[in-house]
Amino acid sequence: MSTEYSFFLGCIMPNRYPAIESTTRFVLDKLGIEVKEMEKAGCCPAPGVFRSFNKPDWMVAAARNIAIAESNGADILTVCNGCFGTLFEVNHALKHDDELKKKVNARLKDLGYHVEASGEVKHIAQVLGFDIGPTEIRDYIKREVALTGVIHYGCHFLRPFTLKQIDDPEDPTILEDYFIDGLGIELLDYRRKHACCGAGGGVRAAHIEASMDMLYEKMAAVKQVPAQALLDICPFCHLQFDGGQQTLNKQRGTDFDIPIIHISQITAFAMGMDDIGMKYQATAPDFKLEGRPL
Amino acid sequence: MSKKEDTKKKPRIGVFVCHCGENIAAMVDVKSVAEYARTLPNVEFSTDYMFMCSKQGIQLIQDAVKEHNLDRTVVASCSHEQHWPTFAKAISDLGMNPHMHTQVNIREWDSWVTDDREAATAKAKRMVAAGVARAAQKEEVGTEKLPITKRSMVIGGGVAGLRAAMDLAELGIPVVLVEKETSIGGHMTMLNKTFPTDECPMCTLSPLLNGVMSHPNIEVLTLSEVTNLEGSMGNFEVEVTTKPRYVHDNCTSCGRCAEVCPVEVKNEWDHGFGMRKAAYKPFPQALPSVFTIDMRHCIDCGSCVIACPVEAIDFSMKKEKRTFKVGTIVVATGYEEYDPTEITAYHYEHPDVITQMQAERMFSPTTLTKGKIVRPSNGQVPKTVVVVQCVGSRNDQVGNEYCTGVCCMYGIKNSRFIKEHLPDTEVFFCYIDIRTPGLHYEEYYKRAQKTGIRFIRGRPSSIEPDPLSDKLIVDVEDTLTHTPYEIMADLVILSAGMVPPKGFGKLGGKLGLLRAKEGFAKEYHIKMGPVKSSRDGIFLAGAIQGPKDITQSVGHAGGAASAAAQPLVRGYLEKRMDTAVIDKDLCTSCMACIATCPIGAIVVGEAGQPVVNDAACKSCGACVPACPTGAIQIRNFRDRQLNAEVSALLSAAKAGGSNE
Repeated sequence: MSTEYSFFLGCIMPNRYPAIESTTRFVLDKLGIEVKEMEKAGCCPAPGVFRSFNKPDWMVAAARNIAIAESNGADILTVCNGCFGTLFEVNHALKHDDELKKKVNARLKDLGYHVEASGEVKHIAQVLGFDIGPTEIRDYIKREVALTGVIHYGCHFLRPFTLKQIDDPEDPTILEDYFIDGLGIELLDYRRKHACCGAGGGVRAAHIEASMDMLYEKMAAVKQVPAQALLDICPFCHLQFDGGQQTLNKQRGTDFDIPIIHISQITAFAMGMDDIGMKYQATAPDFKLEGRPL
Repeated sequence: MSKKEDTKKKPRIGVFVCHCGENIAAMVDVKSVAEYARTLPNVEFSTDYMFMCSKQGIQLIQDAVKEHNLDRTVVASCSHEQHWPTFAKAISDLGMNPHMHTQVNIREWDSWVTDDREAATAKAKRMVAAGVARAAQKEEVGTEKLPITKRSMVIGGGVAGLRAAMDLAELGIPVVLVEKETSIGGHMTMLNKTFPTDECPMCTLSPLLNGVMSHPNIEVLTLSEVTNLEGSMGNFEVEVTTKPRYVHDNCTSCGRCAEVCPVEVKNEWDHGFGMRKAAYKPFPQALPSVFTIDMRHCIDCGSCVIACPVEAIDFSMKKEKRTFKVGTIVVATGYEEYDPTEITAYHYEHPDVITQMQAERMFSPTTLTKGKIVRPSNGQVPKTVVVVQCVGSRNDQVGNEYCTGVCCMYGIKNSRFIKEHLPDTEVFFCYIDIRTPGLHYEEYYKRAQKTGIRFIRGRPSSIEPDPLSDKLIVDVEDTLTHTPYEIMADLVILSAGMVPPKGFGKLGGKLGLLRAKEGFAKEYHIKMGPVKSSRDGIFLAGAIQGPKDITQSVGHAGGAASAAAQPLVRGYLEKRMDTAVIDKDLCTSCMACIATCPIGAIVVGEAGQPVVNDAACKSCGACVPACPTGAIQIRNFRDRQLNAEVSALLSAAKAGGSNE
């Protein structure tokens, strides 16, 4: 594991959920990982929509971000499945295709950048759940989290498996191991656990009705079990679950009220941070996490 | 004296250019090639003809040989492999040595791979020039009759192996049948019914089983594996290792040992649906009808020894190695059912997710459920069953691109069986395509449709245990109606494909067999040699050559037996001697050739020098460049013969102004 990372912020986190950013910085600090800022970093750009319409430009824009991280001399860290999807995939493609790298660099030259794809792209859930792992994280936490929750993996964290090889995307356990063994959380299985949140791939922007149908099915399945909160690893899923529950309540008369907590937030809480920004969220702003002594 | 004169005599060569219909003539100006041939040295006659391989074409060659007193022929047509034997026979019928014929391949190597008529014609001329030069240098090679051992070995005692053993034995050939399990019969004995007639497999198989066991020409070795092989076609020496059964043949199969045995374990034969003792017979009709002591689980209590009324149990039995001399070998090691564990989205570890082979056992009356269809997790009758096709076949993700070909039929068979026994149970059949080729198969499918089975065209994306109940959630889209389904299933049956048996690599290596990329043993030719293996004298029967149903396996095995019997019935091996030959004066006995020969055809002779086993030599030529003194040469592929061919090719290219 690296002791320093270029921190890629992305779009949703700094604009909608700054608490995810502050808790991530808190967690990295506690772990002794140095954060290097990425000057002039742009949009990742989103792996679903942008790539589908214009793959070459998508690659160049992503490569520019990778080039910025490389000039820091540190691997990239993301806290978002979407950013992870794009940056990982482009980095991988550049690593294994010299022709492509030449073409991309020819276009980056005008912008004053050069990409080598010599580094790695990592997701915070991978750093916490695998690089540090559920056993070692206990050296850093101050309390266990007294919570019965459910989890949501999201899309680009584990797929495509042949490239990422983090965990089996059909039946993963990396987050369960981390939350249960590492943070002391009790997890419940629920129907549609591995179903999509309904936001990605431009669905939320283009087909809000379909997006809300998917969210409804997912949240209805969550409500069937006595979970106190839903844990996720991606700000876009976070936005869909947090804001979407309110949309559903307004438009369809449902009474969803499940607090949504990002892996950085809950890890920061376990490390001793009391205010993890729940009060800024749309759903269950009054929710308070309970600690349990180690 | 006279021999030397013969070789110095000026050759008289005839060149025959074939049109092969349009195959060659459309791209090559055959007339100009024939005319060109006449200008080449030693050519006395040349012509072209539509089909040289036809009766008339052969007659034309024979007439020309007689009329022009030719002593060598060159036919420019297709490959050596395809028609050299045809034309060699044509001249040998006239009393000439067949090796005086030379084949030039202007089809596969020229007309079929070129789209420029002028270039193709020029190339054909160069090739004919080279062929003529080679023909002039050719030597007469004899054919030897080699003695063989009139006995065959069949490896694998499933339905294919049994059929092959029986067919060989009925031709009067002594057969050794080697089976690694305790009993013969293989997968067929595990089945509940067979399609398309819904017959009882044991009823149809047992005459063959009993016939093989009691046939005077067949020696059955169970608990046995082939552990080494030496020699070549006609004279193999096979080492067979037999594991101890710890029960002598005087066992009367009374079963007292099993009654008193305190150890109960899962019966492999029942795939999780039956138990057995450490003293056991895997199924009631098992042959040989002798119990076996499973030493891995035996606790050495001695109860069985005391209980046995005929004192058949003997713990002092040891592993035995025996060597058999056989002329031919039939490999019939069958297949294995694909293990779906790696498709994690299907949760095969769940007790209510089973394979078709497990379903066959559950439906059989001799296992734990006594033939009742139940959910293994709780013993209750399933109300909803989902059958999933193409598990581990037609699946790039697990590396099995091929279609197993039999799963549609057995999947339909078992779906029907459930529907007939439990009419109120919903049966969903999820498939990619229904493949029912062959007589009575499509009819079988149509009858199944009428029983109310719900056929869904779609491969389930996941089969997950429901966290809120004891059901399984099957997610599948009906791609004909674009309807997503979420089926709450009580029982899921996976139609797992057929894969090569584990451990075949070891046996295949010992036998020196080539394997296809899918892992099955590679046949010699997919159309014309489906029962021949890559090695002379070893034949393939049944599913080891590729997935097959019982009908196909039995037919294939019959073919293998007939092919394996041919040399043994004839009584000798005819071997063309265009093999490697060692010049004793040049040989320094460095043994480099022995190290190079890929099939072990060169051995150390009595005087300590390398000797070629003519029967085994495949004339591949690997030994030739390995020899530091040029002592080893292949007859008719000697350096001087190849040099003549290459020189002629180059000078023809030069003369034709070719820049190649």
